[in-house]
Order: sequence, then C-alpha cells, then structure tokens
Amino acid sequence: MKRIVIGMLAVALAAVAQKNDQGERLLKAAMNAELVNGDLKAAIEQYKTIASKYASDHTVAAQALIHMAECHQKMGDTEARKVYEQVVREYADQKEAVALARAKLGKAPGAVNSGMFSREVWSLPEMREACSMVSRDGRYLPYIDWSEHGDLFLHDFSSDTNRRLTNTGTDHVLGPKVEQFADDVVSFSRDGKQLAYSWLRGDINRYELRLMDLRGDGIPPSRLLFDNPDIQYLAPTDWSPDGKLIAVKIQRADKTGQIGLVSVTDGALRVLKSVDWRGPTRLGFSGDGKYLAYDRPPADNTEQRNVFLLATDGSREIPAAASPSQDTVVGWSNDGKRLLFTSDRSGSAGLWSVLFADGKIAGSPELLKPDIGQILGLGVTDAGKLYAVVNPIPSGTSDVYVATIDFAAGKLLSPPALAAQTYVGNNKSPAWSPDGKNLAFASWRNSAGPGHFVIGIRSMETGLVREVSPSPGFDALSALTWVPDGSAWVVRGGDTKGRYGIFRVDAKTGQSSILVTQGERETIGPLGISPDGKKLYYSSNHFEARYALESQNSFIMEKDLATATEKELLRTQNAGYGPLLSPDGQYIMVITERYGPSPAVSIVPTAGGELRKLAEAIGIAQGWAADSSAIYDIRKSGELWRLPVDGSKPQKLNLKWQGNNPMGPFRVHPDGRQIAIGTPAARNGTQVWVLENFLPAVKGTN
Amino acid sequence: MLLLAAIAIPVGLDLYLPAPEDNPLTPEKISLGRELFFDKRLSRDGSVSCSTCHDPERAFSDGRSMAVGVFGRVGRRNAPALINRGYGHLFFWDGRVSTLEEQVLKPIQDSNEMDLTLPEAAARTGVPAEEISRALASFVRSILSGGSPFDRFINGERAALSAEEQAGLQLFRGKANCVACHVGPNFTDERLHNTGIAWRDGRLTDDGAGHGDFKTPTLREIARTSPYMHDGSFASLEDVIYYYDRGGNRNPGLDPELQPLHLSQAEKQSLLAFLRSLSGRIRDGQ
Repeated sequence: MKRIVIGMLAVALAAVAQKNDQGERLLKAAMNAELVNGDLKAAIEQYKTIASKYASDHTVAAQALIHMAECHQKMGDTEARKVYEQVVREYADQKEAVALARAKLGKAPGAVNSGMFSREVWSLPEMREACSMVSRDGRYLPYIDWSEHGDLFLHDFSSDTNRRLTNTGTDHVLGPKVEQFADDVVSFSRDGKQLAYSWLRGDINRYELRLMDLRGDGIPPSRLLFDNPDIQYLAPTDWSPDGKLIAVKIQRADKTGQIGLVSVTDGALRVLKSVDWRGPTRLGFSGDGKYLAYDRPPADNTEQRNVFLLATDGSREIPAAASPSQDTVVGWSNDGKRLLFTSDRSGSAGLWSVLFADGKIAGSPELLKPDIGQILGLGVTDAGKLYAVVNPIPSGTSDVYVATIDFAAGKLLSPPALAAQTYVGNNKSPAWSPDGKNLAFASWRNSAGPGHFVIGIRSMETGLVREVSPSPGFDALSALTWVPDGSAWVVRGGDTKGRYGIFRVDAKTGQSSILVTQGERETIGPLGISPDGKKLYYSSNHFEARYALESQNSFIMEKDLATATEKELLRTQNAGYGPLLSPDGQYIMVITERYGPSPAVSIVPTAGGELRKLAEAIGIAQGWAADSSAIYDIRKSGELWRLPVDGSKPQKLNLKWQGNNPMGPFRVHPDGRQIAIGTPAARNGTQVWVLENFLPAVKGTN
Repeated sequence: MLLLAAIAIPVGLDLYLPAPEDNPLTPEKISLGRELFFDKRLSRDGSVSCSTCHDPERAFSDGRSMAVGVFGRVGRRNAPALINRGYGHLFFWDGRVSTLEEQVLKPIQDSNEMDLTLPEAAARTGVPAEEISRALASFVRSILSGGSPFDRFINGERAALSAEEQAGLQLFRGKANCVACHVGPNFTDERLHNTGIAWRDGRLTDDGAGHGDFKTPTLREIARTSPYMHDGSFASLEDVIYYYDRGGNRNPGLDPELQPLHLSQAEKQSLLAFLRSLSGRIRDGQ
C-alpha cells in the first residue's frame, strides 16, 4: 500500500456528538456550513444560535462557542478572543473546551508546556516517502525512494546521509517484470538493531513481513518472517518492549481488518481482534507491553475514530479517551505511561495525552499542543522527542478541472478552472450527467485511517457541491459513469466487503451493489451503459501476475443487466481503454498495443465487427465528441487532435492544452464545448519535524 | 488453540472475546450458565430448556423449521444456532437486542417459548434474575466453533481444503458474492438485510426488523444446522444455493446485492463443498 496513512485531519466534519441529540445535530449542520460550504458567516450565526438556545447544556454550548471562535479566527477578526474568553469564564466545567480556549488565548497553565518547541529536521526530496517510525535513539528514519523503484533506504539524521536497505524494488519498471516494493509501515526493534518491514510481491499478490539486521554496512541481510496467502496486507507497527513480538495490522483476502501479534522467533501469528475493513491506523505497545493502543471507528455508521487499549493476552479492551471526535493514536511517551493521540475534540486537531497505569486510564485527557494540523506520528524517542511528518501527501492527489473549448474554431473559451473548491487535491474521475446539469466526480477522504471515497456532485447551475457516500463504502473508486436516466453511476471500485469490480451506486441513496466481480489476476473497468440503459460494456485485462504492468489478454464484454448474461465483443492483447463508450452507444474506443512499439487509437462497433484504427499515435488523454463523430486526443505536447470516426484523416486543431497533464479520459459536456478533466494536483513536499518538551511537567505523571 | 483465563479460543477466532467489564468470563459463571441452559424448570410446564431449541448435538440448533416451546406452542421463527455469539453485536433474527445479557432472558419470558416471569425463574432456580442473565450469557459466550478445515487453510495449511473446496472459496468471495454479507472470521456482517425470504405472494409474511430485513447468520457449522433461513423454509444447503443463484424473491425492499448468479452445476457443487468445510469442533467452555 503506497498510501500514506494520515494521522489527523485538521478539522473533521465528524466532530459531532450522539445521534438523536437535537443540539448536536444542529452543531453538525453548522459545521457543515463551516467546513463543507466554507460559509463562515452563516456558520457563526448558527453557532451563536446553538450557544444561546442550549446555554444550559454546557457541552453543546461550549462546543458551539469554540467553533464560533475558530470561524472568527479564520476570518481574521478580533471576536475570536472574546469568545474564547467567554468559554473560559462561563464554562469552567467543560475542561477540554476550556483547555483549548486557554491555549488559544496563550494562557494554558499546566496543560501546554511553555518550554515546548518544534523544529524541522529533514525535508524529504520529491519521490521520497517517509516510513512510519523513527529509531528510538532518534538517529534513523527509513524511507521509500519511488525514484529508485520502491526500495527502502535509511536516513541518518546525525550525518545527513542515506543508506540503501533493499535493491530489488521494481515499481514502475516497464517490461515483463513483476512489481515489488516496500511499504511505508515499518518497525524498529527497541534496541534499533533490527527493522521489520512489509514488502509487496506482485508475483504472489500480497505483502510479506521481513526482518533485517541493520548492523554493519551496505545492504543488510533480510529474512522472511511471515507470509500467508490469505493475508493480502500486513504491516509491522510496533515492536514489543521485550523484543519478542511485533504488532501487525492485517487485511485478509476478504478485506477483514485485524490486529495481530507475530512472534519474532518463529513468525507465528496470533490474531487479537478483527475489525472492519478500515482497520487501525497505528498500534503501539504500552510501556509494560501488556496493552496495545489502537484506533478504530466505534460503529459502522461513522468515520470518526476512537482510541482503545487492547490487552495483548486478549482478556479485555478499554476505551482510552472516548469522545465524539476524531481521535487517532500517535504513540506512547518515552516512559510508556502516557498515551499520545491526536484529536479534534475541541474543534481543531491537537495533540492530546492520557495517563494509563496498572491497566487503568487515570484522569482526563490533556491537551498538549493545539492546532497541530495534519501529522503522521513517527514515534517518541528515548529522549522524549516526538517525530512527525507534517503535511503528509495523500495518495492519488488529483483535481478536476473544467474548461470551455470551441472545437470547431479551435478556441479556448475559458481556461481550465477547478470544478470544486472543496477537498482540493482529492478529486478525480469527472463525469457529466446525461442532462449536463451536474458534474459528478470521485472525492477522496482520509481524515484518519485508510480513507474512503465519496461521490461529489457539482450543480453547474448553482456551483454548489453535494456529496453521496456509497454504502458499502469504497477505498478505490474511478471510471465514474452516469447511467442514462441519471439515477445512478457505474464505477470501478474496491469496496468494504473486499470485492473489486464494477459497481452500481444509487445517486440518491448511495447504496452500492456489485455488477461484475473482478477475478484474481484481472483488472476490469466500465466503458459505459448503452443509451437504453440495458447493457453494460466493460473491459477485462488478464495478467500473468496481479501487479504486472502489461496485460496479456484483453477483452471487451457486454453484460445484459436484466438477465446478467454476458457476451464477448472483442479479444485482443495488451490493450488499454480510455474514453469509454461513444455517447450514441455505437463504438468503444480501444488503445491497442498500449505498451508496444506501435500503439494506436482504435474503435470497435458495439453491434459487432472488426477493430478499426483511427490514429497510429496516441496522446495522453482522449474524450469522445458529444455527437460521437470523433475522438479528441490530447498529445503530450498539449496538441489537440480530432480523430474522426468516419475514417477520414486525423486533424490537428489550432489549440493547445495548457493545463496540467490529464489523468485518465476527459469528458465532453453534452453541449459539445465544456470539458471536464482530471489532472494531478500540485504537491507540497513533506517535512519531518521534531517536537520537544511537549509532555506536561506534572509531578508523578512523567 | 489459545487459552484465555476461562476458556480456550479455537483456531480461526479472535483471541479477544468481548465481554462486558461487569460480567467477565469466569469458569464458575460458565458452569452455572451451563446448568441453567439445560434446566427445564425455567419453562412454565417444565417441558423445555434452552437446550431444547439449541441442542448441542445439532450445533446448538434444533432441526425444526419453527421453534416449539411450552405446551407445544409453535414460535414464529427458526431457532438460530448459538455459535460464536460472543463476537456478535445484534441478537435475534430481527436484531432487536444488542447484548447477550439481555438476549438470554427474552426466551424465558416469551409466552411461546418458556413463558416465565423473571421473578418466577429466580424463584424456581434459586438464582437471582441478574445472575441468570450473567451466567447464561457467559455460557453462550463460551460456545465457540473454530478449527475447521477452512481455518486451517487460511492459517497456512494449504492441503486442508480440497481443490473443489478451494474453488468454492473463490466463488464465495467472487462470483457468488456471498461475502456481501457473510464476511469476517464469523462469516457475518452482523447487519440486517432483505433477502426476499419473507416475500410470498406479493407481500411480506414477516417484517423482521422492518421491510423484511433479517440479521445475517453465521455460516460456521452451517452443514449441521438445517433447516435454514429465519423461517426454516429451506431444508438443505442445496436449496439455499439454488435460491441465491436465482437472485432471491424480487420485492421492493430486496437488498441490491442479490442478483442472479448464473452458477453452473459444478460451481454450485464447489460452493456446497466449501460451506461444508466450515464445520469444526464446537466447544462450550470445556
């Protein structure tokens, strides 16, 4: 899993409380105005009303005031201070809210250590991804170098040098090679001499757990510790204090998430607990090794996470800091007594801690540092320093743009502009509704944990964006296509039941159901639904190995949605598919010899017939003309070409695409002028920071 | 096999077996719960005990379509198998109860089942109702099935499943779409679904949890717990596979996951073989 798991999102929509509580429902609505619509003024009015109406319910009122103050803060006005002061003055019984308000006011006695400071210790170059743990002496941090095909390296902070740890990565090596590369979740032994890491092997379609001895120079020897064909993913997240066990998070073939312990001696796995597909973000041994801290959503119907402590002998589980907020485990203090976690319980993401001694939570959670933002905790060193990646990059960073083009005149009428201002950097796979009034797109959410997709729908009339959350949810979603009556989408996805394939998602309810299940060594994707809504066309590429880059046999299939019967329309080799079915349902575009010496844009009639080449060269993205008369092709140079379906000569249009390089096909609006296109988002680099003196200096607690 | 303080956890199940903090598993409570489980004094006419409908010889089910209680009264639904319920979140076919402690008292009080008030049950057994609840819940929590050929297979013993059973597993997770509901170590999502079973002659014969929804049962020990479905309407696993293969009884509330599967005869046989591999050894706290 190349995905970087993010420790915290600055503010999560989900920071709302119990169902059936009117006040908290209103809070949620106000937060929606604040965070989703970005209407701070409206949100302030709503928070104000809530605080007034529920003045006797201090929990709700204090939360509303904290949010209100934050809105003021975002607007840069001075009201924020007054509101924080009101919280401190009138809501003394709301300790968390008061702690946050005090911190904002710069009056945080005890809770926030005045000697705390943070500094950047390393800025990772592009294509480098920090792994999940720093050595206990604070000297080393493993990282993956994607420019070196996914191999593992070790950065030495003291000498600012890097050591190669593996040399067999093949990520993005074209040719017959099967992909293999490192995962970003690793664990040092407490003495720093060994490193446990997870390694993807494309030939067997799963990750295996390996150990390497870091002593000496050069590429260290490694050994296989654990491999199980039923376990597709496992990641070593912490090493027990006695050195005997490695805590692992697991994903089974049916996508059940599990928390387990692997014996360092013989690789035996003991599954402690099964959770749902979302799994924990991080596991951490308590100082005595008797408990594992982890986080998970407490229920099916929420994306919020809570922190729990699970006895390593399986005897009990304890909620560590229950709260209707987004909590994720960061780790333990260096003495192993204080559990560290990020939480937005006070309205914005902060670093919190709670004492844990003799199998019991002692006292209330304490805010250590407010406004910590997005971090990926890398662990606490023996010297008590917390290392973290700041601004971790979510996977699949992309945006959706809309531009208007007069194809006939070769004129750009309006330059590419973001289709949605919400969740910028996380949107992709645009598709116009059949009536052209809406633009749907897949939108990634990763407030904590593995993340999931929602479907955003932008009204082209009002510009407002609403969301539909598929159920079961998706951790992979692309190739969004509307069904002709606009009632649903057909998507390629991987869902929470462990199934990959083509799904139908109801546009009103979000209810998803599988239409075609992907095989073990197969990749399938929807090409479109026939205009009468009765037939699904999809591609099926068969691989020798799951992660091989080149497909062997490629098929185009037609599925009758009423009878579920299937028909093979085309069988070829090494094909790719992009702009899908033509709007009139007559043709499917096929890119033949995608990785071969002579790739070409071709079409095949849905009524049956031979594959026909339209152009001998292929660009980087294609889209069907609204009237199905041609395919538009954007070349790497930005040149725009028109490839007529009638077989006449391809025409170079007097227009250059000047946006970012497109990702995947683009979609032409039914009006024939607007195009929607997915492109890579601008990426910020990642930095590793260290936070020092952050633990409260309270007697007997540290 | 891994040992907790009070019971042994079979291979394939989580080591952490949830129990309320105020009702931790103890050998004493499990033992008392076992006695109560077989105690016919807990029924109005002294004719039935919990074990009447949840027979250990039948994987804690009863082989009847509908449960039969005191005075021969016939219940509304099939008695579910009490397998691995300690890992459950919802209880009864309609999921109306969320803890085992609450669940175990309901049949005692149901007029079609055991037909006693809780004070009557306490008086008859000499055990306070709260203790009956805790003990019975502890005993039910201790009823565990694991160590099946499937469990051994997914733990690395690749010869534990035959080629046909492995083909069935692939179908289970793929074309047959069983994992849409039967997921995880216990083969249940612990959720409610309308699979069309209650839809007959254009109407719902049983609302279940509403709209014909019923809880997904575990598939562990499935070969030993016929008849199947909430109404016991299918006598055999072949009937069940045939039903799902044709996409269920179409009705307005039908779960969209149910679609015709077009399984071949060989595929149905493989699926059946796999389902039979889910039988292991049942332990009940001993």
